[in-house]
Amino acid sequence: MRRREYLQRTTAAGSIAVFAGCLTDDDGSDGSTPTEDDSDGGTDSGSTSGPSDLGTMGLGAPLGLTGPYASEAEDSREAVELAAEEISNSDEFDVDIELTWEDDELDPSKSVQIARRMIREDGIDAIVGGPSSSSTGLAVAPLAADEKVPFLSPNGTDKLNGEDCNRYTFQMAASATMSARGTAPLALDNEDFGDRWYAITADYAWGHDVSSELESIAENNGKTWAGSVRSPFGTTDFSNFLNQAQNADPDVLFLIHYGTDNATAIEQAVSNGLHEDMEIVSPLALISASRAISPESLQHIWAGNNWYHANDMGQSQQFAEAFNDRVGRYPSDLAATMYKTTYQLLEAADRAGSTDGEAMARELEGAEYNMLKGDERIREEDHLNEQGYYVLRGKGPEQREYEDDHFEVHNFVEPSQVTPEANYGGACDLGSF
Amino acid sequence: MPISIDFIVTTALNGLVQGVVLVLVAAGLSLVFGLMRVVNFAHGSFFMIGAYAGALIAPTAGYFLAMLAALVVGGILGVVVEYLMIRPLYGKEPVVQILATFGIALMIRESIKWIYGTGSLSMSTPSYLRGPVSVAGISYSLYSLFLLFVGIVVIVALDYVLQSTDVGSIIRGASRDPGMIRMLGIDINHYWTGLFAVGSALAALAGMLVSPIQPITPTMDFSMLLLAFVVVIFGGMGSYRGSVVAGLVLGQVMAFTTIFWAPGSNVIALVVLAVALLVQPEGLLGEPEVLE
Repeated sequence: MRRREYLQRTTAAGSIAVFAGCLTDDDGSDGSTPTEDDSDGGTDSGSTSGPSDLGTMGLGAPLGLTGPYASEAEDSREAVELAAEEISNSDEFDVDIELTWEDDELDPSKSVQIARRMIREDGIDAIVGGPSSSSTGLAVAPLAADEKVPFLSPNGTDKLNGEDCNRYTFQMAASATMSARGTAPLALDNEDFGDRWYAITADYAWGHDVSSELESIAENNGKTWAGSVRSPFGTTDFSNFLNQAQNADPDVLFLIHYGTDNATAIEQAVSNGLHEDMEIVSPLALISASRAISPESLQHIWAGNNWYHANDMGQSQQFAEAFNDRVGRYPSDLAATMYKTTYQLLEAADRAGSTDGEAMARELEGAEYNMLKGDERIREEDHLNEQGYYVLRGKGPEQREYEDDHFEVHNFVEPSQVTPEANYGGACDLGSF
Repeated sequence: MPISIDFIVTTALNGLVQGVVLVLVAAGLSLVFGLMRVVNFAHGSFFMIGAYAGALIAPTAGYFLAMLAALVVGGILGVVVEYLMIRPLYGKEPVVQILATFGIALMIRESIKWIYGTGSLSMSTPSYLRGPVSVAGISYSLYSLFLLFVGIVVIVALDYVLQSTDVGSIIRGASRDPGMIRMLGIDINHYWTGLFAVGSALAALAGMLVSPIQPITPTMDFSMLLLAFVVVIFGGMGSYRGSVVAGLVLGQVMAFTTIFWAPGSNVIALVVLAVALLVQPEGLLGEPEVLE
């Protein structure tokens, strides 16, 4: 079946399901999600007594709407807005959602200031959709605990499920360790990739975490870690870092960046011809960044992703098409993470019958769901969201059939391979509610 | 880490590419200050406009027409900005100039964000300039070599104009002593708009040249402006050759800093600026009285 036809068919089915109010559990357990299979229109709490009356619920977040993560922040905002609109229009939930956003310019102190004002003055009930960077996310996490407001974080740094974890912070995207474990099998299982690994790493918490996990994977699997270099946030000229990578003569080069930096590093790496001597792997390359990479360059890249729109797992196609209809582009993996997150928060509130922060946080702990990428679970021990990971291969200009046709799915790495054991760093103490 | 000769050479080439881009942007800034005594905080905007013009025009018109378009768009925008907004600022206090030109920069940036969004655009390297080439066993990006060639041709040509033509003599003279040039019966006002247009066009050209390899974003204006100011102050305000030397030196300093202290590659320019201001406030080739 051609992809377009597939999309149209699944979209038609999906939109009927979503907008007819058929938002229901897959299996009758907690963590219900919209599906096209169920027709009873019920959830755990809703099947007997209808949805809880949640009144008005305020959601929002500080976002990096300007700067290197601007595209990602926009995607995140649009995804939460789409989910909120669907939820408000559905019979499954009895709630009016009010959304509030503000640009924090990726400044941690500004991010905290905005989040505090949103909680105390705007009265938001949960922080969803941002902040956009690990450093702003880490700054906001303690505030969430102090104010007893759930923070459903899109950030990847391992600190959020480690030393900086708390009862009210939930790490919904794959953590840095998971991005490393999700993409490393590509280089481990494929003999053509060679044995020497090198990394150019974003010089902040998330980049350091991915790099150090890759290093230990290399060492534990008989590979040689040829070294790494840290590039400052917002680097526009990577030529000197790429030069150092070439000097180390690796077989595999990991480009560990996010947002615009990711696009720049990839474009320059291929432009300088590094792909001719080594495999280039980006453990987290979103399509929001890939739009800024020429197809001629992207075709030489392997990429890790939380989610990619050209897949048929769960409600992925309904979401992808609804987002595309609304915004005019396909959603990035961050958009998918924030879309499913918004639904999980509302499910938690519905089960709790309240938008009280503690009540929602208690319901989020241990929630299991299957929505966009198979079985997922927010585990109790460290609030890490167990999930699988996509490995993608960039497409060249001749292979593309539509504008956002950036990658083909190489494989999906199962959650059991990606997810580390609970509180694996041993540093997480969630504290009390 | 063993450091090979290839590595040193390619690092120096990287520094040279960066230096040439800095010189192209800083040249206009320096000349505009030298001739008109205007501190132009909107200069980085022309660099950004050139990059956007290139990215938007190249897919349909091709790379070289896009380059021409960036020059023309930068030049015309320069004329418009100078005529409508900079002209009333001549002779005003520097703080007025700074605030006004900063306002112009914000207007241009917000307009770009409004029209093209806050995310980044991309521009493909033309197929005939893609990939690495090997010279004497050293592999280097063909596009970067091309950028280097174009940049050096423009820098040398501008130097020729300034040093060896009548127009150049008037500009250099006016930069040193505008009163004397006026006494010679030359209306230097006529040269202002033209010079502003040339400076803007050069910055736009630099923006267009880097757009296939660097992100095209609404925030690229101020990051480049900062470096351009470092070059102008380090080289001596108003001195073209000073800017050339300073830009090339700064490019090398930034490139080699990356090897020894990667996190510092962004701040080293400010260290250079601080040292330059302490040791030789008038800059490498500047005139002390310009500062007064």
